[in-house]
Amino acid sequence: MARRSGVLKTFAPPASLALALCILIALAVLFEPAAADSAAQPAPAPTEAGASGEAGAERSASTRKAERLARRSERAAEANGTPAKSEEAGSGAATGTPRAGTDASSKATRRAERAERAADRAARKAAGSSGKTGVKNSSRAATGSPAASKGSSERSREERRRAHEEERKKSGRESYKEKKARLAREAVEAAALAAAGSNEGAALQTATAAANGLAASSPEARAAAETPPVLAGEHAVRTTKPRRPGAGSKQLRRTGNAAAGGSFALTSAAAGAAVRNSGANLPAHAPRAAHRAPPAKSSPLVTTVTRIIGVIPTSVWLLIGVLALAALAFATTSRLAAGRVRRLDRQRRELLEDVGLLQGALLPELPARLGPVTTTAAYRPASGPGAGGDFYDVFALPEGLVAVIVGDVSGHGREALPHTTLLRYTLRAYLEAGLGPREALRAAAPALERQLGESFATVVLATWDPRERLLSYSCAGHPHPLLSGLDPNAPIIACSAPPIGAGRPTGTRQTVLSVPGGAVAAFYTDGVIEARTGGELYGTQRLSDTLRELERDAEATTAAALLDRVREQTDRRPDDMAACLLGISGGEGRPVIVSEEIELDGREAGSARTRRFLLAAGVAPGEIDRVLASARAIAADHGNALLQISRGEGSPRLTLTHDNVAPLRARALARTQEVAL
Amino acid sequence: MQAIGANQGDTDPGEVSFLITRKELAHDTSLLAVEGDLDLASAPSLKWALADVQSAESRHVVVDLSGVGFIDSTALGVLVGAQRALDPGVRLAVACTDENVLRIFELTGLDGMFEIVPTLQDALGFVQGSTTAAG
Repeated sequence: MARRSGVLKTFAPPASLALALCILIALAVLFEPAAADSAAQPAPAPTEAGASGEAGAERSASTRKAERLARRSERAAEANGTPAKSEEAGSGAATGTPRAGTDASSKATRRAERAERAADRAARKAAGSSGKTGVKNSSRAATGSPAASKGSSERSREERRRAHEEERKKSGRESYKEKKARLAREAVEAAALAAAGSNEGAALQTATAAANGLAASSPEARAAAETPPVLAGEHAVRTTKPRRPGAGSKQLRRTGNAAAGGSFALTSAAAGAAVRNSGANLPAHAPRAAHRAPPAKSSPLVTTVTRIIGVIPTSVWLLIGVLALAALAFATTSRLAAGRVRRLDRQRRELLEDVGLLQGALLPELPARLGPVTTTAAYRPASGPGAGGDFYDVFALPEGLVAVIVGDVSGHGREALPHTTLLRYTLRAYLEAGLGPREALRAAAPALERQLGESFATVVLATWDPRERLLSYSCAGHPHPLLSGLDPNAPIIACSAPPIGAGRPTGTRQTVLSVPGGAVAAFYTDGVIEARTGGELYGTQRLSDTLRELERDAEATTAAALLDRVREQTDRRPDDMAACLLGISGGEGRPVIVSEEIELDGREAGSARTRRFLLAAGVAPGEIDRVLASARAIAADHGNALLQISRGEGSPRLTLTHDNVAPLRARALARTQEVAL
Repeated sequence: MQAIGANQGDTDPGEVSFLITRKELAHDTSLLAVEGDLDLASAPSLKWALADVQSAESRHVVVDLSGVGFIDSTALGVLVGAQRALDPGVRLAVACTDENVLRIFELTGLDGMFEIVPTLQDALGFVQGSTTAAG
């Protein structure tokens, strides 16, 4: 699992990066409309307007819009029966209400309010453009208001409230937050405008008077009107602070609006001048107003973000788009890769489970002791592509015999495993049938070769006869076993039998040893002697030395200990290592090779390697030709000749017969034919 | 002797580098000269080189193992496969003088399967002679 999490960790950074990018993009998309709004519509606060007013590019556009809105407000004012001049529109709207009758007043109020809002928008829009004359107009516009509103009474207040209720119903539900935001914004505007007015003496007075006159019904508004002129705007803002703004604050808002609308509707660019002129006071009031406004929409963070987004050029937007696409691509790739990793991980686990299952079948649990013989086995798979292919088995045969099978299939990994099973059970069956090691190999090899395909296998079969104290073994392309107390070079290497599956008859050699005393027989695969110590092969001599060292402690003489020693002494093990140890108990007495057996066909009977074998076996050079001639004669008659060389004391004793496996196969063949008939 | 074949090299993960060079020993005989250790890592290169020679046309093959200090069962399997895949009348000879390699051939009993000779001349004589005998 640790490995898996590591793999996932590798893929985490791109995924998280992609996620972060996606979030960024989502934010950008969320704020894009806001940015568009901010570009097309006036900024929510006069400070904003002032800031944007300094951007020359936006000025003309906003001015045009302001003019448009001003015209609309004029039309609204005309509809209300007030003079067409927008200068009087604001004041008309403000003053029309108290003069109108109870029924007509609400309608007039609504119209007036619409005109106010239009004027307000125009004023905010025009806030960016400048115009000195606006100041004068503003003051004049504002001047008209107080006189008209002076006569407002308790009734007009009631009417206004009702009119507002109706308006709210008509315009649909306005969310509390939106309302708060709007109120705050408008209050801020009012404050700013009031402050702007304070810069110009007349404007200030009229603004205050307007607040006083229009919103006299509200105690807060009255209080605001009574406060010193410079702080009037600030106080007005303060009145909007309650979470549920009362009528007073609404009135105040209208006051501000009326003042602003009345003043700016006329020349549309007046507010900008007013705001600019009041530059000294504005920073003192407006930011504070912004801070006091509770709604989230006007929070400095959102304002800043909106402003940043507003100034992002198109090229950057394109870049963001490209980055978003790249992020999407990366996220997809990362996800696919992660899926692939998971799939491969699962497959690897499945494969390992399969190999584990097969390995369990191939490497049997050995009994610790078979009669008088202790048995141990060990297997150390190579930690690379060379893993797999080694196999072993140790089992009891009738009459107290112990059989050993150790082998190695060419090829590695999963494909080699079924072959190891095939070999182990097939060879075991032949040994169980009562054949000796060489006979079993000789009989089984043709059948196995057909099933191995292009693979081939090296194997050693052995039987230990405890009564005769004879160890017989037969190799097929496999290293000879080592016996403690026996020279590792004693067995004759020349004329070794080829592996099973090489296309040549095998099971042609057998060696019989007499083991009079206690000894350890070590069967192993070539991976053990082909392990490297600094580029050098470990070899049979080193293995023999290691075995002798191990033997000093009989309890510690196990196959696992042997392989562990080999592992300690080597730095590279490209192939599997398997070992099987037979601990033969007994007294003193070194093992000795008592006989060598070789099967020769007509071709082998005349080969150079057979001559080398005979020389190594101690046959006198002068006798070799005669022996080979006799072998050829027997092979001509029976297909092959079996030469047994007994190596006791003195000169070797040679026995030439014909192969005893051939009649066996002939009998089997005859039986098959009978069945077929 | 003219080198017409492309070099086919491979690098052993160990310290010994591995190289197979193809040359034309005669009009009907190709030589694959192997240098380095023939093991699990380098055996596939030998396999492809042999397959390349064998697939082209009916040519005798001489594998020169003079520069090889070790050959494992996988590489032996490659040689066995090449030997068994020979067309009728085509011969494969192995030129080898290294004691270790010769001993490995002997231990595995495969020395009886290949014509193993000490020199390239012997190898050429063997494949050419067998051709003459066959023809």
